[in-house]
Amino acid sequence: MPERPRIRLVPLAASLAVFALVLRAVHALPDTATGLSAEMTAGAKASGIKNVVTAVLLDFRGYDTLLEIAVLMLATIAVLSLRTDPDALSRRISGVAGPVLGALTRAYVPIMIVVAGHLVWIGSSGPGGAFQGGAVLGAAGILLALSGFARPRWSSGAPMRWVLAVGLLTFIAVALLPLALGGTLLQYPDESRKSLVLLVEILLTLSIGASLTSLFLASASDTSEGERR
Amino acid sequence: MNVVHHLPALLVITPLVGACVAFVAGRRVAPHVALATATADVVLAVLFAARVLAEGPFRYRIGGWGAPMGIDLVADGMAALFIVLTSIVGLVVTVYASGYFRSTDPTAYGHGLFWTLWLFMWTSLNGLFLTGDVFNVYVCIELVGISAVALVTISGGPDALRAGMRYLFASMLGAMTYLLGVALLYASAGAVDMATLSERLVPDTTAATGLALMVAALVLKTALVPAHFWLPTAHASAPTPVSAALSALVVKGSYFVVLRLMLDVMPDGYLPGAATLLGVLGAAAIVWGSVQALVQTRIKLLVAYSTVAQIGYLFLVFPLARNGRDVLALALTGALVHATAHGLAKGGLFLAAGGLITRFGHDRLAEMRGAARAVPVLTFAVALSGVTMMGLPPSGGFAAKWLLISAALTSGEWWWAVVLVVGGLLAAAYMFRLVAILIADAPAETAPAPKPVRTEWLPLALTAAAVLLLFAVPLISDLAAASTTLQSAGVTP
Amino acid sequence: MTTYDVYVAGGAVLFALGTYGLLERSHLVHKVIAANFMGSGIFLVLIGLANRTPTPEPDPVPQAMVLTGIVVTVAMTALGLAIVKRYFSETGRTTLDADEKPGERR
Repeated sequence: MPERPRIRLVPLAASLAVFALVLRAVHALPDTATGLSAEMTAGAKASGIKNVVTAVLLDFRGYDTLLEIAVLMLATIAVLSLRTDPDALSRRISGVAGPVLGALTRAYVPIMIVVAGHLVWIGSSGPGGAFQGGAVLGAAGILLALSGFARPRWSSGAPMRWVLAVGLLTFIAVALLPLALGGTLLQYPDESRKSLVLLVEILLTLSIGASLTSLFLASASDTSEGERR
Repeated sequence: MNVVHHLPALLVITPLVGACVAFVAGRRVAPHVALATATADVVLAVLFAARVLAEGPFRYRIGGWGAPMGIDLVADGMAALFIVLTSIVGLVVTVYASGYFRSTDPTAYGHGLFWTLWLFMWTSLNGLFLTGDVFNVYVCIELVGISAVALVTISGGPDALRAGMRYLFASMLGAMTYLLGVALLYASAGAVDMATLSERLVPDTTAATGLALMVAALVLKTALVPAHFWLPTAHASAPTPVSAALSALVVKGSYFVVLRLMLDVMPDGYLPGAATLLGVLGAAAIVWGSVQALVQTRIKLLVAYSTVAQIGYLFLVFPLARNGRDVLALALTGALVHATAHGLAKGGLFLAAGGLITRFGHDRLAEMRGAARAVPVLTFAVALSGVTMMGLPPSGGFAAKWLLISAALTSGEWWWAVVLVVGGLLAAAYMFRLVAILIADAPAETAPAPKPVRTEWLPLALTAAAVLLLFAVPLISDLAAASTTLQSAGVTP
Repeated sequence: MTTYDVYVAGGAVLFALGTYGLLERSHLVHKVIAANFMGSGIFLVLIGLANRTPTPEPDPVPQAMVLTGIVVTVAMTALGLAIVKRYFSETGRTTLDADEKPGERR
């Protein structure tokens, strides 16, 4: 039965109140503010990472990003914990797709991998980075699974678990490395900062791609009772 | 490398590594990984508390940048207390869970992913207690939220899924509102580091709105009445070790951030009325939660509503804190003792309730009459937790109420003392009702225990610790004195 | 009024719409989408506010916050949809409202 359109008072009041509050708060702001941009820009220049946003994400506030990767991995694991039947999707997709989809997949996936690599590489100087690359890689993974080249049940096998974890584990290892050199967590040594950031980005891309693929496959995996009812 | 210098970082990284290893290693090895991680975390937590007690609060500059550019961890007595509490309850829950999840079908309970999710939750709690950065708080509360929801839904039953769904929506609403608050706060003050913010904050509309949104969001996450709607079902329908962790620890996580924001970040008189409002809601929570606990017919819901009531006490600190540093010291110490006592007692009570449910095969209170004969240890654990909920000496609950009542009377705001006394009486009512059912002179119809359960002693250990907490009050008092709040107020131990 | 005020105002509208949807809608998927509205609203507000710098380059901190926020929102959304799906497969229902046992409300 379709929901009847209706207006409820409490949600309406809450949403109008929050709208008014935000507008009032933003209106009260002065027209310009520098925030932390001056410090951050100077710091990024000194560190050799030209894209300031990348420098903020992986260097100045690298700890946020470390935990954010943990959030993504945690969500993937949470979704995996909710599966009912890991093999259901495998049964629905039997064999490699027909000639058109098969040929397109063969053509597209290598290109997508190259694009993902490119996005990671340019991330240090322009828009791009591990998440952007990981998103493209994740799309490639889903394409491979849907067209029958990769088995969906791989989404929970031991090799996949390694790929899911390798980004975060590498990030942690790189974060801990400075402790042995007398620094604090994530205090990259200046001479190897760029290469360490790049190493972390590359492995994060793999894990993020794997996470996104797993998220899709795990939640697509059961054609459920409810649908049959 | 000297481990002692890096304790704040290691307290977050250790459980995180544990979570990854437990995931990669698979379900057979995961429980051992979790036990090893839990043990390591207890050691780190104790070392950390010892260092804070010896040297006072210090900051750990991640990346060496230093706030406001980088993220600083704040190591102080308050953080140390919550981290030690988390490690103790966490270790007990881990041991309990290794028995609880072993006895069931291996494909149930999320394909053995409990251990990974649990270690993620531990990571996020330690992260939350240590962070000195309001945006990092956002990432941490999302980690707490997602791991908590996933642990509620892990059994996959319809009730658990429904409760988890509602919990997730509350989490989402809270997290989004919090982030909006951070955006406004940053726009106004140009920083997200708490210490920097407390220096830069001026009474302007934008910052005040941001902070109000953040506090409101955290209050929702702490389930303070009237934002408690999600808590009882979530805490009651989770697997028992998860219920214990949620009630004992998770609500304290967001509460901890409220403490930081209200007492450290905001200067006196900022957000006028907020402190009083939080106190009034706390009083309402004590009454409403207790009354609801009195009428519940299912044991875990009773315990969950008791959590709603006990959360109320924690918020009485805010109106009291405005009355000079002596009252602040009394009230804050009282709140910290209460949080510790409740963490231990409620963790134990949930584990005991879960044990009773396992033995009876159901959770209906009315049919648990006479349980004491069959399960004396669990019944005793329930009774001991009652001692601290009611606030009888020498329990932690007694010490906490004593400190809070002293604070109320010293400040002249005696009505908070009335709330505390009434709350104790109401707690006595619902705990007596529970204990009376268990020790009733009736033949108990328990299912035969599958085997003598070694985990029955664990709830008793926790509740006994809560009852004896009075003897640890000097220690908690020292930790409170080593908090950034009391140090900046000029209170010396 | 600058271009960026439009972003901020638009963000506030999205956030308010999302708040309404999350509280009012009962279909679970609608609620998840509403939460995403709230997220997008905040991201717009952040992007708008980041451009208040006197220099041509916007403030990188809110941009980094948006990137972090997007990932976190994706994670929450994925979990939300997975629970909705599992809930639907266990019960055949798409809402939480009805058939709650007494004593379990609230």
